[in-house]
Amino acid sequence: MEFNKAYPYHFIGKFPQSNGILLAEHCFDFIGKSRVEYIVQVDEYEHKLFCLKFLIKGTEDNNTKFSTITNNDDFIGIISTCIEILMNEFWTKELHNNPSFFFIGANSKNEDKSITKRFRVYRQIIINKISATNFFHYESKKESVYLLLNRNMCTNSPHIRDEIIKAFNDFEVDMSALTIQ
Amino acid sequence: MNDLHLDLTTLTEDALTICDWGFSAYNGDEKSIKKVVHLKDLNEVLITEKGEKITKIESTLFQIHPSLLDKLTILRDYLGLKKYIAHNLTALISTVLNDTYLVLVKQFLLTKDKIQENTDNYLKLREMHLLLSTHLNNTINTFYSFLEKTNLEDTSVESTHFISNKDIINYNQFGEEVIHVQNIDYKSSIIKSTLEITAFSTFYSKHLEDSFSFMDKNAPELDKFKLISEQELWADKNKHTKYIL
Repeated sequence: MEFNKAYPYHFIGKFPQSNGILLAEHCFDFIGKSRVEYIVQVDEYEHKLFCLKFLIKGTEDNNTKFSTITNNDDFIGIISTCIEILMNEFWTKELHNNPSFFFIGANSKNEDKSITKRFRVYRQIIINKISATNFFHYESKKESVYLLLNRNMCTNSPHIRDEIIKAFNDFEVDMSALTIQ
Repeated sequence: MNDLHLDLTTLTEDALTICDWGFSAYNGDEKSIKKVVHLKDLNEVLITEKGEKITKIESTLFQIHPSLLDKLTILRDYLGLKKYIAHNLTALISTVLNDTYLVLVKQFLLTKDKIQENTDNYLKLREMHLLLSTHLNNTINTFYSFLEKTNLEDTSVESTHFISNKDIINYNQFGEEVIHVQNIDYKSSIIKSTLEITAFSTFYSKHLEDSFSFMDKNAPELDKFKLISEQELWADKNKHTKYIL
């Protein structure tokens, strides 16, 4: 499966946050199949650590916004767009900052939080598309979280590496807020 | 295997450097490469059952650009054509295997130092190795299958053009030249090639394992997260999907 059918996307804005180590939310939107509108939210944490999420526009205030299923048969288009945003805006532009990334596979209704369906799908996509050249790959199946830790950062900035490690050692997932606590 | 190693140790630096990544560049500096085998003569005489000349194999086998893999695929296709070319295929497949083998070893020699510097190089090498291994195995298996289906005692070869060893040329009842396939020749040749490939594979795998562990070296330990080793990543990857990073 090749993810090369990205939709054109639009940058909405960068919204500074004051929630622990969460620094800002970068928001984008795009129109997918059947004119369904999506929001891609990339949370920026300290030390250039990014977490990508997407949701259907209009569900922002919904507690299940990240686990809503569209049933719109547009998976490849949505994921392709997310990958493109990540590559263009947070890899290429942040390359000199040695960014790291993580993803959370939210659980659907009546689904356990461990090894969720989304986690399994995202995990496979990442393994297929992202080599070990630039990142150490980590996973927490219990929390359905996948972490791409930047190799250069680990090598060149051990103090940052240690702080990120500490953050992830304290990691707890709150699906409604998706925060590192 | 040992002979090959001796050959390799005498390869010049230039010879190594022309084996670029992924067979992307071979500039034909034949003087610095040993075992370059020209197949021009063979090209002229490989004839299909329908009397068509086989022209796909051109110039030298060792011109690995655009791809030695293509050559192997072509060869594999040839295997099903006609038993009358079996003897010549023996020489051909032996050459292919040996040269492929040589290319792989040269790639390795070229790579092993760079592995330590450049993980991307390592990934390319590994991908290439796995592709080649698959092709080699397929080629060998197909050839074995071909041998099993062929009644060697009854096999005769009507083409004579590219057989230099006159001892194996006989004449049929019409006075036409007939080449009897000497099963011991190509059987032993294939077995030898297979053993070489097996030996090489073992040799090569050891270094790949070292490389795998190299990639995981220095990975930080996290309490709640498990490092997915390089070997696991590769095992789980869909090989048809290309990396973007």
